[in-house]
Amino acid sequence: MRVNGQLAETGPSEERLLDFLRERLGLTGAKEGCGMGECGACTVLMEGEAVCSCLVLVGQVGDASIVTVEGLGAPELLHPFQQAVVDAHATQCGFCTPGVVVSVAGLLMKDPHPEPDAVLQAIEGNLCRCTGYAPIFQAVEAAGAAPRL
Amino acid sequence: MPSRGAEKAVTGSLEFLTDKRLPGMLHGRIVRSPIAHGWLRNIDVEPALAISGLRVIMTAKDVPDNRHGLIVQDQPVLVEDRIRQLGDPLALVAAETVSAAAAAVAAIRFEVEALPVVDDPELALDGLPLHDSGNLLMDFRHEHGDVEKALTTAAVMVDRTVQTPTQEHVCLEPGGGVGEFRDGLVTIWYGNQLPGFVRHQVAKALGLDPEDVRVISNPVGGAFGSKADGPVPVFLALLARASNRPVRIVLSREEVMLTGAKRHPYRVRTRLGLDSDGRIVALDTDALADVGPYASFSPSVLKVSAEASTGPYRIENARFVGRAVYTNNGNGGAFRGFGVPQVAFALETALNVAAKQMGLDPVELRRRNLLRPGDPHGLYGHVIGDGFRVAEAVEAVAAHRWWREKVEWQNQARGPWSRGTGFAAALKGVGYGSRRGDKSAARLAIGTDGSIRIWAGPNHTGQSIETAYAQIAADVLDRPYEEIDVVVGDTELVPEAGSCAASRSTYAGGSAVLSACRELKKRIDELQLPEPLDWAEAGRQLSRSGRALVEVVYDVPDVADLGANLVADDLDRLSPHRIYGSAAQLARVEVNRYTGEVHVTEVVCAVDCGIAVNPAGVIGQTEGGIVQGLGWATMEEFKLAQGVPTTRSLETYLIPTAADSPHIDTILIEGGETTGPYGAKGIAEVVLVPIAPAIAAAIEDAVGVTTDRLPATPERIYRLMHGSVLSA
Repeated sequence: MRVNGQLAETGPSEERLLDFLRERLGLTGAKEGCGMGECGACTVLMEGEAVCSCLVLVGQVGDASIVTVEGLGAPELLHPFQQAVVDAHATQCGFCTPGVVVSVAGLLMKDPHPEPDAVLQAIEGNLCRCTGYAPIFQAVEAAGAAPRL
Repeated sequence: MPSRGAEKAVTGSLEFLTDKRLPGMLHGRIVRSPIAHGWLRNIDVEPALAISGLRVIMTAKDVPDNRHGLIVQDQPVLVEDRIRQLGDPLALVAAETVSAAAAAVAAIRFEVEALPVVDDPELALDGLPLHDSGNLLMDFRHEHGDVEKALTTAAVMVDRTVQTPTQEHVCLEPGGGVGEFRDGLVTIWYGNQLPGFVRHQVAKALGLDPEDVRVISNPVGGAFGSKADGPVPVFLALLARASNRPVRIVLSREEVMLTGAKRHPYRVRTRLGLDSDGRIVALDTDALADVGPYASFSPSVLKVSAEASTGPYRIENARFVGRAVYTNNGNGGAFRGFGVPQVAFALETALNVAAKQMGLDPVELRRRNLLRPGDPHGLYGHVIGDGFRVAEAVEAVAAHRWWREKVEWQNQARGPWSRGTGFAAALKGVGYGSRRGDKSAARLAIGTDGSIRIWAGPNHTGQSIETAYAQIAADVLDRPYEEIDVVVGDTELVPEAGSCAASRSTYAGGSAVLSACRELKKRIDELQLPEPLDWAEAGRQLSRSGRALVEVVYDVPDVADLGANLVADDLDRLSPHRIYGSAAQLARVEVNRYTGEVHVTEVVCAVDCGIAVNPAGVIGQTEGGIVQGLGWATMEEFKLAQGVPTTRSLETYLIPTAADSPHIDTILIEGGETTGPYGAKGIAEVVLVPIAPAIAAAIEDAVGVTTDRLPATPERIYRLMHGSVLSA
């Protein structure tokens, strides 16, 4: 399996990708918020598409490339959207944040200047209970999206 | 100011306590009751003992002190004999792997004998008692003046009953952590709001000295009241001690939804009397709160409801009658707003109905009744302090173009969407209230290298409180903000500062930090060092003279200090507040006449916050609070059938998504609050309160129906609009 550009030893095929990433690879950025694909806290990119890693089994990954939040940037060198989130105060408790970052980064990789509908489609699967979403929209806008309607 | 930790959060490198791993860690799981009410007759752990990797099984007999509870100790750590909620904990296991723990849970056998479920709080008063004390946990009432007499002579009378739903916190992090027992000392890593209480509860349950218990409570992935009490930290300590290994418990979303704290559902009857000038002459509030199985914060919640029942208004004759009743439903506890949203919904909707009846603008009706500094509180009569600016907040919303242009906006509605704009206002006390021992503490040290480190509480549960503490320090000491190091959330290091709750973190915690910084500055000034100040030299000199450490306790000002016209007994019983935060809001909605869907499109919130130490923080709390309140108003309802939750996942319990987020205009009404740090006061809860009645008023403005029952789901609004043989 390719994770964040590196080859990783694969795991049991019936294991959830979320558990594989967190427990076996120590990549704890993806979080378990619900375990059933409703909250988006476990979002990772699989071949560039945002997926809930709690719903993907290791056996389904094959040789698809997986990108987690850890693969997008580091504190010394943030992805532009990560910087935008910091600047817009778009993170409070921080638990939903990796999932939000991955969803938006995935969108921006495909479309650097997405329209409001595309932005909404990308983030409406990421629940946030702290911010009310307004600063998340601001951060997406600062990172190149069209302003929301 | 960007919050500290933001860079860690965005890169996934912020380690939550549910991410924590320790070498040799076991996995803990909880055996839970499959019935809502009954007797646990027998528990047989034998079948589980054979499971490979199982290390510990514990039941109630293994708990030295099994009585748990913040105010009333009515909750068993592990059920001994009486089951009072679906999911009540019956036993604990710890095993080498998650799958072994799950297998052990499944293997344990028990016998239960069902009792009739008590699920109606009104009927519960005469029903099967859940506790020896009966089902009436608390009856709290107060009256001033003569409400009945005033109601008979009122020119305008409104008599309404509303029902508000059980709300689930839905923190994105369900919760859990790690416990370790080593050399007689327990360390608990568990994200929570009350590390001091957790420490004492763990010590009590295990028969330890609190000095031998350390709680690390930070960071936490959301709390909103749900991570304050509850037995999970005790489970961690018990399993760690029994196994002599670190033990990790991570709660599933379903576990939290079944057994975690909830917002109490209330039924509130409001009888409101006004004179012909629109002044409130009488208000009678009768509230029935469904506690669920265990008291938790309920007595305090009911008292806060009483104090907030008269809202930000002057009222000549007012009465509050409140009852908190045990049932087998969801466990009412602390939830942002803490009893205020329920009574404010009742009062504000009644006022909006009165305004309509009188042909009076709803803002004008408020104007004629708002409390101003120096006025007596509507129910208790204590004096409202000089920092109270609800009148300015109301005017700020009324002056906003979305209020001024509401008719034109409404007339531009297209298609099946009808438009409406609604208004509401509210107050909430900051801190625990009079005579509740509300104090905070801070410790500050200057190093011999000139470094500044502050240990302060309450800790962060999302509102970046360390940022505010650092800003205060930076300002007083005239040092760059980045040079101030702040530590929160560790009982070993941080002096007991009370909880992250009651909108008190900036107010109480910040005041202690301010006080500590001022003391350090004074000590440095006394050294009479030359300019520019050599901080390292100051640190060295103070260290040599033993004055490098400052410790401060800050007592939150009590209303009694104002010379309130309340006797000591009343202060104890009523716990009125010295300081109030307030907010006024308008909501613009579009209601679909064919489906009943309600879209909240824009909201204005004017928040009376004193001085905003961290404006981004105030705006963040405001926006988050509005959306959480919007969820309660339009889509969130935790449902049970005969004590069995039917909404037990995020598939069926819906919270607002990005698609539901309105455009929010936040107006900070700033001005000195003489007692808060730099004049700040707490607002994190009050901002959640007005949105529901504002939405209800907007729905009424849009389609002419009055919402008596929340949430205003499409089904309910449809039925109100089109009528139905089924009740809404």
